[in-house]
Amino acid sequence: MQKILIVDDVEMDREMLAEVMSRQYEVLQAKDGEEACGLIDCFGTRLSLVILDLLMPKKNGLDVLKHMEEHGLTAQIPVILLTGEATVESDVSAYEYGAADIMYKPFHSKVLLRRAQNLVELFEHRRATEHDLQVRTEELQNSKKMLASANEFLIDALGSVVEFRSLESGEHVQRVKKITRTILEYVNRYYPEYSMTGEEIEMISSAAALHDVGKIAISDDILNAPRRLTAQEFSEMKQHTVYGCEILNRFKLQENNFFHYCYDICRWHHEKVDGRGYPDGLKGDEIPIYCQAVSLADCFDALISKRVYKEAFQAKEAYDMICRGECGAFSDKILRCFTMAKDELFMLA
Amino acid sequence: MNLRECYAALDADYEDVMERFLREEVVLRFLRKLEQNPDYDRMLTAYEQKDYAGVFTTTHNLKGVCGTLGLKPLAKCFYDICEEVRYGAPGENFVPLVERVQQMYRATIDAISGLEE
Repeated sequence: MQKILIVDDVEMDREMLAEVMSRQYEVLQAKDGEEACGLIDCFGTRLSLVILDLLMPKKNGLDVLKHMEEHGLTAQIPVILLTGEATVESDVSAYEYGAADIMYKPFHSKVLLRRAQNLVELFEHRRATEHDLQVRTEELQNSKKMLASANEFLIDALGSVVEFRSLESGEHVQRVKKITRTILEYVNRYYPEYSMTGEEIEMISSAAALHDVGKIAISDDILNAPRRLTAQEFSEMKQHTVYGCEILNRFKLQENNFFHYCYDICRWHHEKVDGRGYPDGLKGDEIPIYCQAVSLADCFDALISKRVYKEAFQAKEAYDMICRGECGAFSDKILRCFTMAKDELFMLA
Repeated sequence: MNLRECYAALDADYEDVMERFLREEVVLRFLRKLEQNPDYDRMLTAYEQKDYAGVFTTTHNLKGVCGTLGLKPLAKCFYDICEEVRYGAPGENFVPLVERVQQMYRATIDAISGLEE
């Protein structure tokens, strides 16, 4: 049986009301507003309805409504204000304080019972709907997480294919993502002109996995050559930036931010601020800051990794080489972020 | 005197109270409690002490109880006093209104006492 609370300072009023309401509900009684607040705190949403008198000593009906509102309960438990005071002002106040309905004494029992039932059902339905919505939202969020995780897996797998062709472990892609994220967090903190949301940084880091996807189109002879490339071979190798964009264009489903990040990173992760990079010879701020971050991450990780044509450098050594400009020109801003992120990058190395 | 005759004698609303409580024994139980309701004596004390806020509170309570019991003329008497003191000191009607409610209250209690079990 559903539980309801009757609040009235006049004992006879309480008992007469309880006599009627007990036909349909288990009835609790409070003799004033203070006792009512205590019972409401104790039973919470186990109460299906509160029938509340307006004029009472200590705490009046509006005080009880205010207490319930402060505890977020007026949206959970319906309150019928049952009063002998029929003024527009008190009615308006009661509704403003969150009463679900107002009735006047002397009450008509059938009307009161029916209104009570309607309100109890309405609020139960609302609670059930909110609960369903919450469950579905959680399910949707979980599905979204699983989908994002599956996407990330596929992107990483695709990005790592080239590494496996180069007889490498696939850790390069993971490290480039982490280094890119770390550098971008410093960019975001110290250069508000490039302001990025956390979601954008995640998207860019994920897109960084595909920076070398165009190498799939480079022949094994060139990709795995354990020697210095000829000018012609190097020219073909540089084309991996363009091939990557062609691959992405073929699989493009829609123009969204993620596609643009992937495309820009594939194409411009070998550009240099002095215009001596490739394939487009962009200069300075023409190169998006996130492409500069990936470029630096790729360069740093390439230095600290063993390749078929070279041994691995120590992280400190690689760091110094980049700072001395031995690996091409980077912007002052990205180098400053690289410097600030040094300790974290050494941990990743 | 049975309940219906009692209500007729008091010009009260038998149908109304029966709609509310369904059974005569329930109405009887509450009618007998009316005499024990402390608000009536409190009202008289407040009246003697010119405590108009006290008169307001007690008559406000009594009009509600009497209204729920279908005792409409008595409820109206309490209502009139309640409105007379709502904003503080009452007007010249106050004393006659209190005298009238005393007569009617006594008549009601007497009628209830004469009810068959």
